[in-house]
Amino acid sequence: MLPFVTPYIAVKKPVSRRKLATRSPRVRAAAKKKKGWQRLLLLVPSWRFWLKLMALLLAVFSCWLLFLDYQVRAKFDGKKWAIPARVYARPLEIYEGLLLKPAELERELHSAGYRHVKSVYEARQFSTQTLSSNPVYTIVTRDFVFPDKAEASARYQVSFHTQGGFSQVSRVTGVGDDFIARIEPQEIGSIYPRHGEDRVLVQLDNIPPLLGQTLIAVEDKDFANHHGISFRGIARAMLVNIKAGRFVQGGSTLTQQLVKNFYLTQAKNLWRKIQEALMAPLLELHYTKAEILEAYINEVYLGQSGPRGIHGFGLAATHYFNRSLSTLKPHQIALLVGTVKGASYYNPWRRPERAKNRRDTVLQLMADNQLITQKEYKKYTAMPLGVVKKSALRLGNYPAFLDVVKRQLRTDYQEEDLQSEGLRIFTTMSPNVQGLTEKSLSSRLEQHNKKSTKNNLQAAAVVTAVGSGEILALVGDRNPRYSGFNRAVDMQRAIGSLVKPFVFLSALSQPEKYTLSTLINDDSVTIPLAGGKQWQPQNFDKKSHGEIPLYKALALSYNQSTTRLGMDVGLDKVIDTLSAAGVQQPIKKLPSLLLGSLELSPLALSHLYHTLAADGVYTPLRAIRDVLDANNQPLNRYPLQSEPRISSDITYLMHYNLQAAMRIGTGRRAYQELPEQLVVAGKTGTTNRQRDSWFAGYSADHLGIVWVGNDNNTPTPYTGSSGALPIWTDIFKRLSTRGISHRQPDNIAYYWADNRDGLLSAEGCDDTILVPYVRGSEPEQTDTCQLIDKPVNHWFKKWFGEELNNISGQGTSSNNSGIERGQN
Amino acid sequence: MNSVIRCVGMVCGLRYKKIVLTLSVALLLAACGTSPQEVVIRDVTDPSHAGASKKMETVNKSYNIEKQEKKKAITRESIASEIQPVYSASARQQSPLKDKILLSAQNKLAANDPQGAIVLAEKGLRIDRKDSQFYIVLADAYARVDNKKQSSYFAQQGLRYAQKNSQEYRALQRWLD
Repeated sequence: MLPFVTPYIAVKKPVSRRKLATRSPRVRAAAKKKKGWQRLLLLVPSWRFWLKLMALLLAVFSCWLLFLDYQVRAKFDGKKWAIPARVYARPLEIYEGLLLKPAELERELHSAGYRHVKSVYEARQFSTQTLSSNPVYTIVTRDFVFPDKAEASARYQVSFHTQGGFSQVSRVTGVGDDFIARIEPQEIGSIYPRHGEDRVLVQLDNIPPLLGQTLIAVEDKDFANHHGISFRGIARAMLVNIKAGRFVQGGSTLTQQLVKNFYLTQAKNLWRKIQEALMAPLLELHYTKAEILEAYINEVYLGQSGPRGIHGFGLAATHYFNRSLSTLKPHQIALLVGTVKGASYYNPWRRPERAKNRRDTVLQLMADNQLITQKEYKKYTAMPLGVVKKSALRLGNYPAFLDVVKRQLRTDYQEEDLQSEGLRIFTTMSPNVQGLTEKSLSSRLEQHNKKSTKNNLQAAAVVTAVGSGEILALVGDRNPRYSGFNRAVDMQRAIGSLVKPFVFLSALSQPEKYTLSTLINDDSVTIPLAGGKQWQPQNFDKKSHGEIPLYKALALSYNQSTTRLGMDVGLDKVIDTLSAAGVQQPIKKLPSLLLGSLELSPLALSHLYHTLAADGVYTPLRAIRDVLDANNQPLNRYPLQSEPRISSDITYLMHYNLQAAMRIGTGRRAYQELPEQLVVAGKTGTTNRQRDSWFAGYSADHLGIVWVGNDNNTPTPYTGSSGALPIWTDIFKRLSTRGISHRQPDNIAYYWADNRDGLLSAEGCDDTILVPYVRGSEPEQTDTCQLIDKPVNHWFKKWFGEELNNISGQGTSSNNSGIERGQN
Repeated sequence: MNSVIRCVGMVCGLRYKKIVLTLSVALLLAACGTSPQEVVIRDVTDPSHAGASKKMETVNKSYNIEKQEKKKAITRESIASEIQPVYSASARQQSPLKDKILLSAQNKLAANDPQGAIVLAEKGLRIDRKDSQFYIVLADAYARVDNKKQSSYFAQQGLRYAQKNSQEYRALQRWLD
């Protein structure tokens, strides 16, 4: 501003003596003769001054223009946008023999954005029919780049066969020579910059021509002819506005809008407008109309989803219609183009009438410009908006799981790269298992909390795939959509009786001393502590049970016998077992450790129980499989890692003992709802005054950990059996999962043992049980046997026999039955 | 015999059917109370018990019977109450899908692409985590990328699921530390 102001300031200043002295005598004489105002006029600078000033201004303007030009080119030639990382669930792979229920397949398809139709005619659709009372699904997938390869759209037919409550895929047609039908994964989130802009980049080649034509027809008719600014457009807009008596039309070209959105701010002032007017022609100078249109289509703001701004038509097509841009119909294009005028004002969920009017106006313009016929216009204006249900806006729906993914990513990537490099992250999450877990947890918690207004229970759950260590589902709040404190990961709570299997593992690791039938004492116990204090743990039922077999002490979760056993084995040994199973934090060597004073999160606890479920092999749990860059080149894999840490023989004994807990112990209520033939193992956990209700249980394929409690650590009305177990049961009864197989290690042998003395007995004798032993550790024989006329079919023997039946091909819970694992 | 029963019936005033019943009960009680018991402990893989094709194992056990309480002492000779393994590691479960994945993984190894082999072996283990063949691929692949530790771990894990002294078992032993 200074050059404009300076001459006027100079007029007001008194002329210095030196300056006056330099003037010619003629001027001085004339000045003396003239009056005051005339004298002032003589002081106005000469034309030379103005010339110099103009030159200076021109130089400054040129510099500024050059600067703007540099800005225009630097940003347009460089990386235009920060592209957020996209996070995907794991793809569903369907093959013959896969354990899968039709309902699970449908849940997967719906979550991946598939629509159920009567007859499939395009990608992302499926239809159902029934053949010989078995459901058959026809599915058309879309093109997708998986981490290992790009797969083209394909049409599959998936047939099911149900037997004995188990459903499996009996036939898949349409698969190639890899025998697998792969459904593209659901996008479960994105990691976008702080400004919240999210977009999916599209190239002009992939943009439907109708979109470009409609956009031009509606927003900038002279786009092909102007050089950034359309004076005709401005005049037309002014005329319309004057006629309407209010602002109804803007005169900005598409180029100007792009400049405003891409380079400048949304501030409404003259300075921004001047910059816009200069930069628009500069943009037109350097780039073709096609490049400008492509940039506009990717830049424009088209909606909001929570904190995430929906930018560009590529993402908007998914956001509004769950379709790719290239598959949009004219009325859908019309809605998106109409939204450009005001994404919030024409929000189709909040203002459907207004959005429809706007869409129809755009359709009218399309018809006027012969982009569609009048017939089509009538047809499309009669159609509903057709946007996805608001509840189906899924991104960000799994905050607890995404939290784990982000934590894992941040160890390997800069935050900026995650937010801007367009990475594609393939996770391990199963939408089916996640959905089941969320539903089971939420509905049970709702029931619990309804029982009393005082109840304000919270819950968390983690479900993992046994063996691969992949986290399939993770819920950190009773409201699975809540993105605050993640209890599944950050909450540290005493694990209570869930520690007992590791105490017993420590004992069973000395087979010469302890077997499952060894009698241990459950009388009251007193442990001397430092400072002359004593610790006297009690059983939950406040009773002592005398001499009982070791397996029963764990199955019934007796505290007194566990404490005595743990002290006898040694705290060091128990700590070693816990560390081997996966506890990474330092463990305090306190007797109370034996009853679960150790504090862990549900996720950390999943590591421990996964080691058990995976036959003693420790595997770090993972939430991510692969990371690709924006060009689909592999950046990182998170491979399976495993380390055998606990003997498979001893782990086998623990499988047995935890199965006993489910059949005759504290977990037995699960079988009120689970199918009898589903062999599962598990353990309840309850902490002092019922502050925490835990359950950890597994099948051959899945491990589930559930916690229920209060955030403020106050007592709850629930034990592990009444609080967490029902949630776990709800999940597992709906899950396609195989029961634990009895493929026993070579070093294990089964004997009948007498429950009363722990010695070997025989089948048919009273109070005997079929027990596995590490070879050579079996005890002496008992000297008495009371034959019973009608021996009760022992729980283990019962499914022992069933397994054999299954092996011979009649059932479903064994490997030999020909049924593959449930891929969840 | 019939005439004897009729005579007894006439003497005692009992009817024919009741006599037959009484005698049967008496005979049954006598049988239970006199001879050494033969207890049959079935092998659980016995076809009569579970449908499998293994031979039936019969073990004779002598019991000293205490008549009143029906208590029986088991002698040291009445051993072999061990139940045969229900299902020990056996031949690999065949599946065209697994075979295809395994072949592809082995081809990757042959083409000196251990990373590709690892990806496929993991895929195979997601289908059957107890298939020792995939552990052989993993052990081999990790040895090739010079991760001997992980190679050895996978070999150890595979050995847990391989049939002892089988070809797979021997192959896995190669990769142990």
